[in-house]
Amino acid sequence: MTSATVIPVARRWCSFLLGDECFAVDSSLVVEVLRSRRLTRVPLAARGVLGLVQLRGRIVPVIDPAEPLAVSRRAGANTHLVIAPGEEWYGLLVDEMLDVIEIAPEQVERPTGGTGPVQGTFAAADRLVHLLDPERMIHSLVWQRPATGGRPGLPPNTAP
Amino acid sequence: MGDNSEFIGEFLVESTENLDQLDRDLLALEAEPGDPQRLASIFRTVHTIKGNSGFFGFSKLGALAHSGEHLLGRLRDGKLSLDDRITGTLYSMVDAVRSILRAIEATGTEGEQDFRELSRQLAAVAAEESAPVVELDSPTAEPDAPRPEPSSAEPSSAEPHPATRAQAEPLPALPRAEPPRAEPVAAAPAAAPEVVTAAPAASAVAESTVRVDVDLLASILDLVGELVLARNELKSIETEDPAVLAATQRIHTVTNALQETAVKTRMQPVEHVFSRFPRTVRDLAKACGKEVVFTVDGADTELDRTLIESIRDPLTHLIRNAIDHGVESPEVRLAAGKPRAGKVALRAFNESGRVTIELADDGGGIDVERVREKAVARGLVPAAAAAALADDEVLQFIFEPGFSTAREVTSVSGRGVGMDVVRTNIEAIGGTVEIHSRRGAGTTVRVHVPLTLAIMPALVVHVAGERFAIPQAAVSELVPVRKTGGGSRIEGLADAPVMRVRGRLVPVVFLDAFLGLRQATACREAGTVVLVRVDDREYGIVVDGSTGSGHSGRGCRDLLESASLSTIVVKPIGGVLAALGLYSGATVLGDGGVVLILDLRGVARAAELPAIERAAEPPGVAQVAAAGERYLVCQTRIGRRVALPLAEVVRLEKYRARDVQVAGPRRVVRRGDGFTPLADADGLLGAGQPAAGRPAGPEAGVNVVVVRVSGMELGIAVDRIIDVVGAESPLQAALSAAGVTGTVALAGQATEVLDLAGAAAGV
Repeated sequence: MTSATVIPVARRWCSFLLGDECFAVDSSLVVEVLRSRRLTRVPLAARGVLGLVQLRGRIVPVIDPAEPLAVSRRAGANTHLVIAPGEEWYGLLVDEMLDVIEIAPEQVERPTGGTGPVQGTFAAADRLVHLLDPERMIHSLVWQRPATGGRPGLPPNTAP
Repeated sequence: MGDNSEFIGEFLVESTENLDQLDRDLLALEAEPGDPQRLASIFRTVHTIKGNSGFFGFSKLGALAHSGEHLLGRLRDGKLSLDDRITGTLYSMVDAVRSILRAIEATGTEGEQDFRELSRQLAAVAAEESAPVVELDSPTAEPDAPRPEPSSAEPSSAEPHPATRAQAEPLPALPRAEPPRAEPVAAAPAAAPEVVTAAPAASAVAESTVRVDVDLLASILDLVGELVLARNELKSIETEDPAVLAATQRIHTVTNALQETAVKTRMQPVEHVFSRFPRTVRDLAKACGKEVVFTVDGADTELDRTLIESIRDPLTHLIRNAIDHGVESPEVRLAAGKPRAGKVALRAFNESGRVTIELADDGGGIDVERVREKAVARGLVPAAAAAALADDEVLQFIFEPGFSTAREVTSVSGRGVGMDVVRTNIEAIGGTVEIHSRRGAGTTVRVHVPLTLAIMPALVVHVAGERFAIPQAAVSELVPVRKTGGGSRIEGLADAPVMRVRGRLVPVVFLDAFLGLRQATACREAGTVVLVRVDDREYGIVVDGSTGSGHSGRGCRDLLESASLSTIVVKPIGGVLAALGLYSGATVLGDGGVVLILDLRGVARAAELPAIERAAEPPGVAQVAAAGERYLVCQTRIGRRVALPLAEVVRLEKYRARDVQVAGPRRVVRRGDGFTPLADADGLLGAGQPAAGRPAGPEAGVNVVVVRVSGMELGIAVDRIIDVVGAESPLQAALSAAGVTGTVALAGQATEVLDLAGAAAGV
């Protein structure tokens, strides 16, 4: 279903801009693209959790991928790419949606040290597209300590 | 046999229900052997099974049922009287029929087992008092009228009417030997939940019910949930148009009614789970050699279907415990002056938005001291702290995994895997378990379960511009921070604020500061306190006084503005956020906004609310004009009651023993960047060395009252904090009493006041 642990096998990828970098996720994971939706804050959640939106009766947490992916985003982004890497839905805050691209497996170059969220890169005509494993990224992000402004002694996010 | 699968499915469902009824009837018959109605009902049931099996060609089943029917016929005709052996044989028949039904369900055939021996036994027992032995192998020995189709029920039996097929396909595969998934939607609660006590006519009047597939009901409930959300949206639209307003009002009323009705379809009487228990109790009691009188009360109490199955196993385990470990053997009981037979009472009732199921036995109770020893032996608590725990607190250790104080592990229970699983299973459905016991008198276990999870009334509160929802079932009242005469209800214990409510002291959390939304200044004067109760603990959550702005509360109107009651649909928020332990879900309000639901237990835990013991004084005393100084009353480690002037108290802290360090002759505790010297209340009073080298475990908690005196901060270690009380008399200066400035009357008791200045000087 989702990109395999080592070689991404999906053929169609949904690409988007984050800062100056281009990323893509398996298009079969994409639920919808939301624009200009009001976010509800989740106090004391991990730093990368921007808030909640509701979509078709479901409550969807919105994540900021900029930090785990080490990019600096542009200001004023409010496009949410809603994906379903597993049972649960997540929204990713992106700067701009781009095209769906077809990638054959042999065109993918694997990164060094394959446990990060980026599973490979693809050299498109005019740019480099980083292929993302969203599940990995979400896990690495949300199991941090919360950005606490509240009292100390908050239950630590227990790592899985 | 063509497409009989549909009919066979129905046959299985009905027969399983019939067998459950048979069990109940046999139990009742054992209690009252002469009851003709009961006997007739049993006879009819077996007769039905025999007839049905003939129709489908289930010959083994038919032969078995035939033998049973014959035996029952002789009983009914008075040619035989009921005794233990006959009952035992009949129970065996019931079990045998069950196993055949299971085989049919699994394989479509009757299976390989041979029941002829049992049939012979039935015949032999039947033949006891008379001569002829009836032939076994002719199922048609009596004129039978195999019905043209099985779906027309025996008119006099206790089954509900045949199913109205909701869809054309056959019933989905039934789970093994479990009650059918498709449930009758009862038009009225089922009769005859009681078993042992005076039983009314056992056969329920045929009710008007239909069978409906559970998936269909689930989708109806989902749709109703969406409708509730849409209705909320509609409500929030501003309009003057009278036609629109009228229509909106109607939609509002109808949706409310629809929602209540839809939720009811998911409700099922706990009878569904309780019905098997009498048989279980009987078998268990026999296996353990105990005599047990089992009573069931409130089996018509209703619970969400999705939760009902989840309580079956925990309750079964509790019953096992009660019979195996709780109730003593008849000899022991007689020697103790108790009646021979032990009482095990199962009770279900509704209580403030949840269902409570209570299992009480009058057995020997739990040996609290052995639990205490065992807890210490397993390193769960240091010996010193264990000694200080109250009995009920000690009993909590029973829920630890692998904990069992049973002298020997019997085959029935006592493996030590039970109680923690019970608690886990109950907590998984949002419930709680509590246990009380008295040595020699018995044990009571109470399970609290939420009525339903999906739709619930909630209070929506505002704080720092954000909204949060609090389950209404937990809210006991709303109180403005500002008292009517001016002044704040919240008492000044800076970091651990408390509030007095009707003579009780209740810890308070400032939600804005707790969530890091803003500094808690606005709420202090103008907020509203939402008093909640969770797990027998009470605390207050301070929220904004009115919709966002912080002006002073002026009474009811502002209270209503500050919090509004809504019926919300609870939506899950995803594992990641749930793991924070602060939010139990989220909902979408009428204006489309997403609002988080506070997890009250989690908030209490995370806020580290100080444990404040409920004031033991009678309510009247608290009202006594206490115009004098206010004092914080505490209990020292050796049990002495002392008071500290509240004006000097800065905060209440709880440390781990490992935080306390020894610096030369002093003990200190690390706080932030510095150290606070620590003095033990007992040590100050010179009464009993606090055993400085006491080997309390590093995790043991130390309650410390931090005071500011003589320009420094000092921590006074106490055992527990009791209350904040106003003095009823001026301070009587003490004469040469170490560590004490005097005595003052607090809540009718003369209490010594600790000499803090002296303590500071001595540090």
